[in-house]
This record gives sequence, C-alpha cells and structure tokens, in this order.
Amino acid sequence: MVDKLSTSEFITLILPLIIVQLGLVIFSIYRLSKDKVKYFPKWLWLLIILFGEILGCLIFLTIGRERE
Amino acid sequence: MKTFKAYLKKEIIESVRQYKYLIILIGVILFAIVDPVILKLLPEILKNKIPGDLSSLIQIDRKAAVQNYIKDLSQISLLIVTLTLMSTLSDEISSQKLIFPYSKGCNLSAVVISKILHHSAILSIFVISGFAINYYYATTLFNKNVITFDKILISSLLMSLYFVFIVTLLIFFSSILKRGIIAAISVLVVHVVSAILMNVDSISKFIPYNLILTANSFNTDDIFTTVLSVVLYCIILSILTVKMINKSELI
Repeated sequence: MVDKLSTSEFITLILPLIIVQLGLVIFSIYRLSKDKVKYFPKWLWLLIILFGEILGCLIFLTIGRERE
Repeated sequence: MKTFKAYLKKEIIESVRQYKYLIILIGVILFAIVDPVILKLLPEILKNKIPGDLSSLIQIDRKAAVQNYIKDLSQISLLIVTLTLMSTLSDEISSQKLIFPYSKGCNLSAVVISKILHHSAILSIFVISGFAINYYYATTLFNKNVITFDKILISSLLMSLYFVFIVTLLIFFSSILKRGIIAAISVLVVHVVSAILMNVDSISKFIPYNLILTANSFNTDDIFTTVLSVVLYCIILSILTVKMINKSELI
C-alpha cells in the first residue's frame, strides 16, 4: 500500500522476525544444554547457533541432537 | 482404522517431542517474512556499494516478493523439510519399533498412510499460511505489480501439492533405504533431476517440478495434466511403500 515506510512502521513489520530469531536462539541454547549432541562438540554447536542465526538454530535442531 | 488413529496420534506426539512442527514451521514461514523485507532493503544496501540508480536493474514489486518466496520455498525450505522428515520410516524399521504393533496384528498399511497423511496435512497448512503471510508483507511493502489473492492461493495449493509429493517420495525411499540421510539425498537428487528434465518439452507436463514453475509464473492455464500426474505418482508411491513395508524384514 505504501512505498515509503516510517522507521516505526518498518520496525513493527520486522518485529515478528526479531522475536522468532531471539526465541529460537534461546530455545536452541536451552536444548543444547539439556540434549546429547552429535557430529560436533557442544562448543561448536553453540557457535553455529549464535552466528548461524535462524538457519544455524534449524540445523542444530534438525541434525545436531541425538534422538531420544 | 484403529491402527490408523493410533499411529496418527503417535505421529503428532512424536512430532511435538522432536520439535518437527517448530522446525518445519520456521523453515517454511521464515522466508515469507524475510524475502519481502530483504527486497525492500536491497536498493538501500546496494546504494552504498554501487553508485547510481539501481531501480531499473532490479525488479522490486509485489510479484517479485512472492516469486522470491516461492524460490526459497523450493530450495532452502525443501532442504529443511527433507532433513527433518528423512528418518520417518527408516528409523522405525532399523530400531525395530514396528515389531510390537505387527505382532499384535496391526495393519502396516495404516501405519504408512497415517505418516503420509499427517506430514502432508501439516506441510500444506504451513505452506498456505506462509503464502498468506508473504502476501500480507508484499502488499504492505510494495505497491507495484498487483497480484490478486486468488492467484496466490492457487500458487500455494500447487506448492502444497509439490510438498505432498516430496513427503510421499521421502517415505517411499525411507522404506527401502536403511539410513535416513540417504533417503533425503535421494529425494533431493530426484528434485534436481526433475528440474533439469523440465527442459524436455515433450515430458515437461508430467514432471512434478512443473508445479513450482507454474506457481512461480501465476499462469495456471495448462496445469491439469501435471496435477493429475502428481496425484497419480503420490498414489503409486504410497502403494509401493505399503508393499515394501509388508515385504521388509522387521526383525
């Protein structure tokens, strides 16, 4: 509808993304502390989660955890 | 029917416990938000790197935002979905989890069908929701090249059908291969090969990848043959999976 957005409007639009990103990082770190991991040591998974952003978290949750 | 219901319930519990819903939801919906936002910021980002007016070089409108989402959905999201669901059946066979239901007289066909239906339904819901979110962001951030919601809805249904095909194929490979990762790689190989085969005009209508191209072009005039073919492939793959699971050595 609008071509130029104000800063506040833009922040409102990307707010869900920020919440998802933060929530997922916190959740992944929590799971990392509780679960057994595979392929890499825990410290490396922590780096992947922190610097890989959402994709890093998804990679850890998908292939990094040992299935119960 | 009892086996079907029980396994459907088991699939839901297992998906919640292993965070499959969460991973697939983020993998599918993330790009619905990210793509329009990145596209909106792209000229600003490039302005600092390359001088001059870039608006004529890059197509930045509603259609491009949706097309970018479809592209990511068929690449990164597909990879996430495949890796998440890769060991759906092979894990149960290799860890001998199917012995107890089988020895109690449960129908193994119901086990397979419940898995296919559960994952297909979940993926369809997520994909359609992703398209709706992407459409909202595209209409909010851009005003050029208007696309009607019914076209978006048809594209989302075509993409959902493609994901249903991928799930059916993955479960089929999962029934014949012992390791989940090999099943996932096989599915990705089929995906890439079908994209290459789209260059052969005489068979392009019968290739599932045509669903992605049609969803991307928003021109659904000649899609009936492809939809019918993909539905047939799904049915055939489901029947083959049931046959393979009945043949496989569970102990």
